[in-house]
Amino acid sequence: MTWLERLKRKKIMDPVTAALYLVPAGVIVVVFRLLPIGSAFLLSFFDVKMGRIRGFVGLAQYARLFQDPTFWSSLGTTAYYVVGVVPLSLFLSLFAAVLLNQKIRTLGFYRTVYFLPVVTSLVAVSMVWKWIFHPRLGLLNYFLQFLGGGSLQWLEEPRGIFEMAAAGLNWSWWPDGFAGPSLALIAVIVVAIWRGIGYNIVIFLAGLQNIPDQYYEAARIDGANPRQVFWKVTWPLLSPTTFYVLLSTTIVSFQVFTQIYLMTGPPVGGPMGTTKVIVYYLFEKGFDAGGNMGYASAVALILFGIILTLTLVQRRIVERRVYY
Amino acid sequence: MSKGTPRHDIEINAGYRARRTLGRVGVYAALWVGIIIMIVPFFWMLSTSLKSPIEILQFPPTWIPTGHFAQAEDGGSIEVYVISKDRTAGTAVVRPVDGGPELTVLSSEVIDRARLRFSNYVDAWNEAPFARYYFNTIFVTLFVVAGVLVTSSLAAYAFARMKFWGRDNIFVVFLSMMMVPQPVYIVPSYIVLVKLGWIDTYQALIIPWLAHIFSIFLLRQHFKTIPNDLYDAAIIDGCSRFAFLWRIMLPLSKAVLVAVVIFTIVGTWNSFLWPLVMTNTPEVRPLQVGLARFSQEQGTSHELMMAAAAFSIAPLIVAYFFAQKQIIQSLATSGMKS
Amino acid sequence: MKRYVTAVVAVLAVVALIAGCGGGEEESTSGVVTVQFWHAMGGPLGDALDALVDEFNELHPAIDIVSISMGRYQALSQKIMAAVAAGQPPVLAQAYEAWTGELIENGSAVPLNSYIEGGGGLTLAELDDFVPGMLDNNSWDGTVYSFPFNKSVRAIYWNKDLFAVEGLDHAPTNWSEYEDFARRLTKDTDGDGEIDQWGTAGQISAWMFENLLLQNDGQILTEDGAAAAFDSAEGVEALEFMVRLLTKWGKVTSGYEYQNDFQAGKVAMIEGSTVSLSFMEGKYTFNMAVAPLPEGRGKGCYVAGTNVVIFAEASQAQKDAAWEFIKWFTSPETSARWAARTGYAPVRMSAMESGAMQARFGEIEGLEGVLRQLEFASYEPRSAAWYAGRKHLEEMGVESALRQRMTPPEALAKAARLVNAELAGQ
Repeated sequence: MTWLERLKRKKIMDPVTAALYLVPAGVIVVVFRLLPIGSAFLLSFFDVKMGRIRGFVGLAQYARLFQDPTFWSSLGTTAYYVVGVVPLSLFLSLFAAVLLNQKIRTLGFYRTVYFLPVVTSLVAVSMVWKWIFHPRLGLLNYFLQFLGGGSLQWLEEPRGIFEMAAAGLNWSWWPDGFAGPSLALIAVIVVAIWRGIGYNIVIFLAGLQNIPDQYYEAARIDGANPRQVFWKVTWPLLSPTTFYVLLSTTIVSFQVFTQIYLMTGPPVGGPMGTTKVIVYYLFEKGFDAGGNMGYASAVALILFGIILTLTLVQRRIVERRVYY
Repeated sequence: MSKGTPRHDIEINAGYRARRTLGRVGVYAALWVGIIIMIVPFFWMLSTSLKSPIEILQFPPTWIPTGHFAQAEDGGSIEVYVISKDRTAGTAVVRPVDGGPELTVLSSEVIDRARLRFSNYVDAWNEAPFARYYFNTIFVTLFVVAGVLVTSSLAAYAFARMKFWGRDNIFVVFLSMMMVPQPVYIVPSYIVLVKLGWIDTYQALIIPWLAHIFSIFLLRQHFKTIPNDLYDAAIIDGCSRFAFLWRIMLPLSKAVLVAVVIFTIVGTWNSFLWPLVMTNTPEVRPLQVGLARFSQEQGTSHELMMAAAAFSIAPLIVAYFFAQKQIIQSLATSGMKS
Repeated sequence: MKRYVTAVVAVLAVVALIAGCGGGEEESTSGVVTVQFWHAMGGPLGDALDALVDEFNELHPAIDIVSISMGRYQALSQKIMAAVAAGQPPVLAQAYEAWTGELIENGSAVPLNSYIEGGGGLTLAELDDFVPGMLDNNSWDGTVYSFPFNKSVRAIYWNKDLFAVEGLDHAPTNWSEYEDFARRLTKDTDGDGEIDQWGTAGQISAWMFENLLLQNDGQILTEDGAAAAFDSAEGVEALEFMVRLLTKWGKVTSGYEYQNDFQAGKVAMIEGSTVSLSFMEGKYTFNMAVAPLPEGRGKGCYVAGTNVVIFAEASQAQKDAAWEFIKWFTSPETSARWAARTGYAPVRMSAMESGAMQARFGEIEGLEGVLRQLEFASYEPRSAAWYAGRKHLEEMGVESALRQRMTPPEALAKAARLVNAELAGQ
């Protein structure tokens, strides 16, 4: 390397120039993301009312939090939501993607339609589905009656689905305490899957098409049947994609808010609080009259911790199995 | 697309073929069930948006909006609402849609025929300042897209090509902020905007969104794939850093830039909570917030709500149909890259 | 370390730079005082309010009241909270008593006594003219902090035509008539085995339960406000009555759909706020009348609705202008027109005698009797803890009983536990 080259290289490391390039985005990120997020998290150690700091309380809010039944129930509701959305969305989208990968004519058509909800606003989606779920005039109840069933209350049904099923089947032995997620929450889950599936399908499809042909050729020469081909070739080679879809769907599901805000209630989170997910709970605490932002921040920090842990755990578990 | 398609056509025995044909049918059947589930809500939105307020209350509902017409005195037919039907007497009480007293007619004289009430769209449009909402959304979206392109390219270039203290740490901090849901920091953000005097202004909707972390990430990943040698050679040839970005990097990243444009448009057009909190008046209120308020105020006029929902999503849907390949690819590549 | 300092300084400089770019308060040069008024009135109520605000602005060239609707009370409370936290609230806003309490504690609400007693104030006779109890309900420790703005009471809306079919010529006046009429008016008109006409209908509403509780000599909270009292025997009886009424002889609908059903003649009578009048206007074709709530062991009626507060952060000129607006809005004449157009209760007794109100009484049969309930009306507890606790009463107490998830005693006991935790500062 000549000294001139070295100089040029050194210049590449110039932090001042880098800063210039970073300033436009950096200033905005710092002022409108880092600052608010940082202060939101710091506030969890303060007593805040009407958005004003009343004093430092250390970990007191966290202590209170763990004794707050609504916190636990909203955490439980969120868990139901995540467990309802993630595996089903993953399974259905992978299933559809594998089907679409079978040399389907007019692939474009299917893909276009499946993807349609992704570009549709949540506000409109929520309005339309609320109308479909309407207990008296809704399309879904019409289908149920058409199929010989009875009407359901959907978004207004606070009963747990297991409880409803047990009652429907006359299972008197079903334990009272295990009612399961409310039908209202299931309705919200259905919409979430409906809206998000197209995105996952497209990503899976891209993943499938990235698998080089020679692997299939090899499997063919070995005389593998389609099922074996899927489990021995497609599934392992698709694992980075699956991992990505799993991770992103999980994170997005933990953060569910707008859909709950628009579809449930009044009051939001109803009926009987059975759709009050954690993000809505912290929004309500921090933003409704009283403005208890410290408490809301404590909830937020715990949520952040959960998401982070899950991400890391998923990464750990999956990394060993993923074939990059 | 055929590149990765599994080929199962080596076994040539008849049983396998039959199975395969059956399998094909199954594949198409499954895909069509999916198609119907995806399409029905949209169809239902359009169907409802073209119905009369009376027809909305009908259960079982009609798939195609249907009007009721009764024989008029002059021999023509007039459109009516059916108030009630008396099955034993075979009569119906109807009220003309255009006003006038209630009439009792023979049930058999009431004819149903398709009647698409496009006036619902006009009514919904006039019920709230939707034209203004539309303008606001388009205006904001344009600025955000332009801004994101500039800031993301510059920042991604710095992250991808320059070495500076704490580069990777800063980048990780950027990325981790994507994991924080908006409701967590919406109140502190509000306070920041108040301090800037931006509440209820376009600035509040544009400037905080001019930097988009995910776009930076995406571009950085792409920039990293451009060989270092190219860069070193260009620099040694006296090409300035900015010129390299402008003349070489960006033209090589067209696909990613298109992706950035597309998801910025979709994200901005559909954003809800932020504008809900940061705007107060119709002058700056964007479409989605206006739509949500409209649906709260209408309460039970489902036909107007569905009409408003339809015209609010129309521009993106239309754009989507014209550029669906591009859009899907953009959003998919954005997923794959991470 | 030095690097950190440099970085922090750099960030601060940039923040300051941006802040500098932001427009500050624009000083008006024309001498017109601008008063931002945040409220939650939407639809026909918003139109009515805007019309009156315009009229006031016409009459007062030096004042410009800027009416900004947040659409819903929840949105309004959130925006007020955020704006107060940021130190930049509006000049004037609608507020429930519980919000006002918090604003007082925060030092954000302006005491109004000096305005009332001052030159541009109100005479003793005028103060006496306010609906009894209303000003007291806007006072904290003898200081008035807010003024009644949009207040409503509940009423029975009844379809005279459907009542006449059953030979009934009046709305129910007591609980037993209430249930009896509802039972008689619930029928299967076309004989297909399904009920097509319901006696009554309603939504899940803590307000309805509270009124029944009061009529049954019950109380929401104990005297000292420290614990729930609605789970008493009176409360259980009231909730049982409500459940019977709305599930046997009526139905519970989502949101305001019971009003649509009433307008469509599918429900013979409903209970609702007087404000519903403005939403039903012109949407029914039968003979409709309203009536005061039926009596239980006694009469009872809780007033709902919000007041207006002036914020301490405003300039003196803005506060004066806001007071001018409040005074004008609560004058007998304006109050009467506001009430006549929206269905809200007038806040002045003399407004009842005004031309606007009398004309309205001529249009809506029974309205005067409904509004006369104000003479003995009660007010809900005002603490912030109750404001939060009320949600539990609605969600756990009333909703779980009406949806028949729990029996009324169970539901009220559960709601009481949650409310008590809220009152204890949990």
